[in-house]
Amino acid sequence: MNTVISAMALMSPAGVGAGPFGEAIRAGVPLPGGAVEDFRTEAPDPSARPVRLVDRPSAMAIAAIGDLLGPDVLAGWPPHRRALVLGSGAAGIDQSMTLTRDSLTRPRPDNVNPALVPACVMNYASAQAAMAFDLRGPNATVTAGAATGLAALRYARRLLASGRADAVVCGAYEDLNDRRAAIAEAAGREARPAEGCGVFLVEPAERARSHGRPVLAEVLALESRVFDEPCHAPAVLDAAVRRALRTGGAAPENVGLLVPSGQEDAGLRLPAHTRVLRPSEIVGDAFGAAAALQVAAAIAVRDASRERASLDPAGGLALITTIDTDGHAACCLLRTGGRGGPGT
Amino acid sequence: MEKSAVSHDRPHARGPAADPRPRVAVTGLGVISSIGIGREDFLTALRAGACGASPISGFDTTGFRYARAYEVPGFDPETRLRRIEPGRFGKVGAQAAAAARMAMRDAGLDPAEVRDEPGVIAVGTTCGESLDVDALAAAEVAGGPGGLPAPRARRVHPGRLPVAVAVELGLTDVEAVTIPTVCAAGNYAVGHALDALRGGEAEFAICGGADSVSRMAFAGFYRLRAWASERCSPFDLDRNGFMFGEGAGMLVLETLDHARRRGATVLAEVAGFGLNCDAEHPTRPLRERVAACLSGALRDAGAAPSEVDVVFAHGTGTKINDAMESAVFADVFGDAPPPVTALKSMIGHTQGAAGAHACIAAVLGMEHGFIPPTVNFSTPDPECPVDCVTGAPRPARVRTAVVNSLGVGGNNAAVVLRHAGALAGGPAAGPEPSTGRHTATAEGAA
Repeated sequence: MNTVISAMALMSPAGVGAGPFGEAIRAGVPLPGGAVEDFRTEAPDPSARPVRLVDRPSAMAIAAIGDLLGPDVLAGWPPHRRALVLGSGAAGIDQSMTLTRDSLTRPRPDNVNPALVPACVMNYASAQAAMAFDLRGPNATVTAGAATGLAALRYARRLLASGRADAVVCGAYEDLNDRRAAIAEAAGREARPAEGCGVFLVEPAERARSHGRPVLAEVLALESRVFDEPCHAPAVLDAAVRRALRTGGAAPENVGLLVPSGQEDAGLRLPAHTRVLRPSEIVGDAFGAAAALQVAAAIAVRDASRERASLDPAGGLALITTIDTDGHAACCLLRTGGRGGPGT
Repeated sequence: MEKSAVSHDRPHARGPAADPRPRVAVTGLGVISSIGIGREDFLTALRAGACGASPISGFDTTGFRYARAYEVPGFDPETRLRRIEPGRFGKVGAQAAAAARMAMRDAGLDPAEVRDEPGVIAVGTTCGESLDVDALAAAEVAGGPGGLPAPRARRVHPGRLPVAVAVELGLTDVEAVTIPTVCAAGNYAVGHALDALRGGEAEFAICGGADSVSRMAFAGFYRLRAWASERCSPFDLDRNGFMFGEGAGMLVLETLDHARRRGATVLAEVAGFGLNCDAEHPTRPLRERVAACLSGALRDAGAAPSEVDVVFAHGTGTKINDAMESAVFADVFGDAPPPVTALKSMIGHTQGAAGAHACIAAVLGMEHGFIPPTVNFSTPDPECPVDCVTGAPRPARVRTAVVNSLGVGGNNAAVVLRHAGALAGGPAAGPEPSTGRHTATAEGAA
């Protein structure tokens, strides 16, 4: 089975949508700030009982999924065969700290906001999205720090391979808030914090074709490993990349585009002609959403080269790599440059 | 695309000709719970019908009218670790790593033996490193947002839980993921490992869940009046809520071939898994979807409902959950439903570990021929017409067990386990001579 990405929807400091993100990536100029300025969450009606919390991270995810799931995508897709795999790196920590803070500082320790409780755990966005779009199939939340987007993609591919769903809405999100920034600073995380969201429609190639959807990328290989000490990360990532290339039946020379999370490509033995794209230098550190935005960057660049009808002569393979400082090393090999998608 | 694993048209697809997927064995158990640490202590407590509820000791509960939980007081998981230096991971990561260490020892599997083989580490959780989150909030109250302690900030993210396991075991070639699908996460982790092993992406997996009891969760659910005042009493008429528990449950899974090659003792088979979503209401589970999930798991296992010898219910002890689940069991199992038990009465709601803890209890029940009791039970509830095993363990020949779980938000996940005898005679062997119970299973369509 060939697993492909056939649609995507994005939110980034460049704005809402894949268009502004692609332009920013291609321009290569760092964006100021780290917030998605043109995304606003609706303020809850002050007169209503606050039964449901509208929190920014899940609102971002749900809005992006709404962009992804047009009527054409949902038509003929039975609700119980619709899967969702969604992740973030830190969702719920901000809300949890608010709840604990209120318990510690208010006159009574149980005087906390009950509407906050479900948003303190990580599946809040997944559950909200399922309700919003009638996604009754497998519904999973995953987290692997900065590698979350690739972990979600791997989970999604496995759901398809095991026949548990027809197609999967798959993605990752992270919001920017003061506490996340304070935690990052205290932990010594130097990168400029940013927010974002990338969601993809992941399905078998034949299904995409029969529904008339373009193949944005074919997922050739996904690998992830764990390193103990930071000094081991380059070798561990390199081993993952070697296996991904073997699995994908590719040689290093076939990698036309490399999209690393930071500077980890220094340890990878890839040919000099490989183009390198560093989305984090443009959008900032989107933590749990970073890998999803890296995948989106590979697709955005591919779209542009298609428009210019100058397909990458190196074979059109894109390699996404990520090092998460907590210990995850992961990579993904995509075919993004093929003229007609997989098999051509 | 390969044939659907949940298709309706192959209820007997257990032979190699019909089903080329590798079969998956449980070979090791690691458990930390309020009633016992390690397989032997846990087994003894299950047979004794122990209840681990006690006054909360992990944080100051001044001002709450009641404050009990199923903690593991006085236990420092770091004392069980060999490779991880103290303080590097939070308590929940340390618990996951300690339980994984126990499970590997139980499996007779030296991590060095599998260092060069691709593996999976999947850890379910609800609240992640909740004690560190609480500590960061307290530090913020005391010193403002600029005064957060670096050690806590560095270890607070839940993506670290499987990293703790990998580091402790010295494994690098592992697909490591945290599955924070709340209270169903333990089953999710087992199911994820099952699919990876069936799909040939790995030959061994270490999977389960871990959580602790935090101020955040206690204050929140106390406020919502969902936290029981004294103890958790599933299926009892006077039940008054759930009560969180602390701990970790980890299982070693292997493809049957892998287990046989190294001469491992097979404890049970993970025969099937199902997962779906209500997509209906944030907190009120939907009977039809929970039933569809259970039926789907049985189909995935090639098991007829009539083959099931015990159901480990999600059994939270809330009014709404237990009544709903009782109705579901009638829907799925019909006129002759199997006995039901609710482990949360003994160990509390161990959240992300709950499914894994129940899988471990089910495997022990198969091995030793009993169904663990639902304790704290005194009065049957007409709203819960189930054959609940109460008070004392019930001797039983358990060949097939189902572990049901539900996560807030509508996440359902069920695991089907088979007695090790199901794997004894070869890839296609049945657990016993046909008793006529292998009947059609293509019911309860999703």
